[in-house]
Amino acid sequence: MVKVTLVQADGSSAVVSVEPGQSLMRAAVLAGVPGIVAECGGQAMCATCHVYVREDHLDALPVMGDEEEEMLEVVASERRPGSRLSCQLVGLADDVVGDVPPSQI
Amino acid sequence: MRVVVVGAGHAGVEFADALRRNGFDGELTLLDEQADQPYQRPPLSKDQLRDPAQQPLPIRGEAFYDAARIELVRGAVVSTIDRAAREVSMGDGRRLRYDTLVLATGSQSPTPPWQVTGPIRRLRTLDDTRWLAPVLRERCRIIVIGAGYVGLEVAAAAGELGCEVLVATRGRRLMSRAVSAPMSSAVLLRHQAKGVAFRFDAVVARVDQPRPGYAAVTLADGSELRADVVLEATGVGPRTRLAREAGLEVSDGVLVDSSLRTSDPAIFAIGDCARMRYGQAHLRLESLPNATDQAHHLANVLTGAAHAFSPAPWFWSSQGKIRLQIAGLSAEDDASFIVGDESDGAFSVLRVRDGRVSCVESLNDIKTHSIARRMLSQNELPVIDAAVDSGLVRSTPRPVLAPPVL
Repeated sequence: MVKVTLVQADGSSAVVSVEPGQSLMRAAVLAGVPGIVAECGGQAMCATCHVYVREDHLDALPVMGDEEEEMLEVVASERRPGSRLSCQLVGLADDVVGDVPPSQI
Repeated sequence: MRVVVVGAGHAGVEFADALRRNGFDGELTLLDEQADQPYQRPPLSKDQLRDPAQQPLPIRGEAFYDAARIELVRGAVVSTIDRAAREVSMGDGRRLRYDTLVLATGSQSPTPPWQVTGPIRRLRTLDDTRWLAPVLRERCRIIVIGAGYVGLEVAAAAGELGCEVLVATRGRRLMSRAVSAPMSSAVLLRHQAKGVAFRFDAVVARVDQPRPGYAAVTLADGSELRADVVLEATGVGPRTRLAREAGLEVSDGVLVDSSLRTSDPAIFAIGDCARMRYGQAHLRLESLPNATDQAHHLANVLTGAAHAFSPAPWFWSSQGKIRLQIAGLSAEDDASFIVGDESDGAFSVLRVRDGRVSCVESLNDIKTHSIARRMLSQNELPVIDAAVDSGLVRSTPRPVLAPPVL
């Protein structure tokens, strides 16, 4: 189990425990983290579970697939170097810190 | 000031969240007829069916409702609306006053037009998935009546789980309300390659499921199809009983203006149940992105937030390895142009009306879909030349002169 800290735009943050095999999206939704919408339920279809993973944590992430790469083109908040869809973040190698974008829709 | 929301599907929950985020400080009550915590429906015919042991994905986590000061009342079945008193009554006799009422009652399956003995099996709720998932794991023979999104999603999942699957539809092609003929054909080939069988022009006369493990479908031509279970997936209609009985204007959905207001200025409707004015016409969309868009729009309307509402409808379906993403709205007689190679893994169909792109249907072609989503979110439909310039069309689109014959 790894711990992921998700920081909101107002500076508040939540620490989410992610079980092995569980996506960060699922863990964050179950924990009630605001701003992780995930309206397609984790299929990399809707791009509403976008997070900005901080630069010094990028090594802990699984490799990005083509589907995620393309869907990041339609995120509501600007795409940045640490942009990921949290539904695709399964099997994090280490604890991670990320920021929740200002909007998902 | 009290806002009462009837229905805790995506539209209702998104609306309540958006209203609070917009700074609404009054009382906010969300009436949910179901006992489960409000959950996401899309996984019910996909991941949840394949892995029923996993916890259902909620729309918002348990902690959200208290934190946002949303009073979530579960098991609350609203029976009537008293517009003069501005009150809703619940089946158990409770009454609740409102200043603003939001109907987010969603959709329902109409009674099938054929004879039925035994239960009608559908896939609409978490309880339905809880029932169907173990049946599919026994590698049953299943007949799915209906070839829309839900029917095909279940067919794909059932096939993957080792079931013998027959899809029976009264239409001549798959998803005929949702996609073009060339897309129907391409999706059909992929399902057939996975072993799913199809029967077109199948007019059902009766369905018998007298006991578990025995099911029969009798067609109007007299032929009988046998299986272990029959699932009815012929689509849904708007759930409008409350609105109709309260005397609101209803016509294939609760009629609402561009502010989502019904014929009663204190009552609004959003999501699958609402038929909203779009330009000169009314349009009702059964889709999750539409529910979310309308929820946010209404929150903005009620809090006076300045915004322009420019809905950009899009849809998706995931049927095993088939990823279907649709941006925009097409009419049946819009021309079709194929982008890419439909015999290959990924391609799209551009629907064109009066020289402008109305809709883009993509099969495993996320790149085209993502460009289309951005282009079609503009206020004006893009002309076909602009679509070429934007990179939407990477090869010369080939017009489809006649729909391929199945």
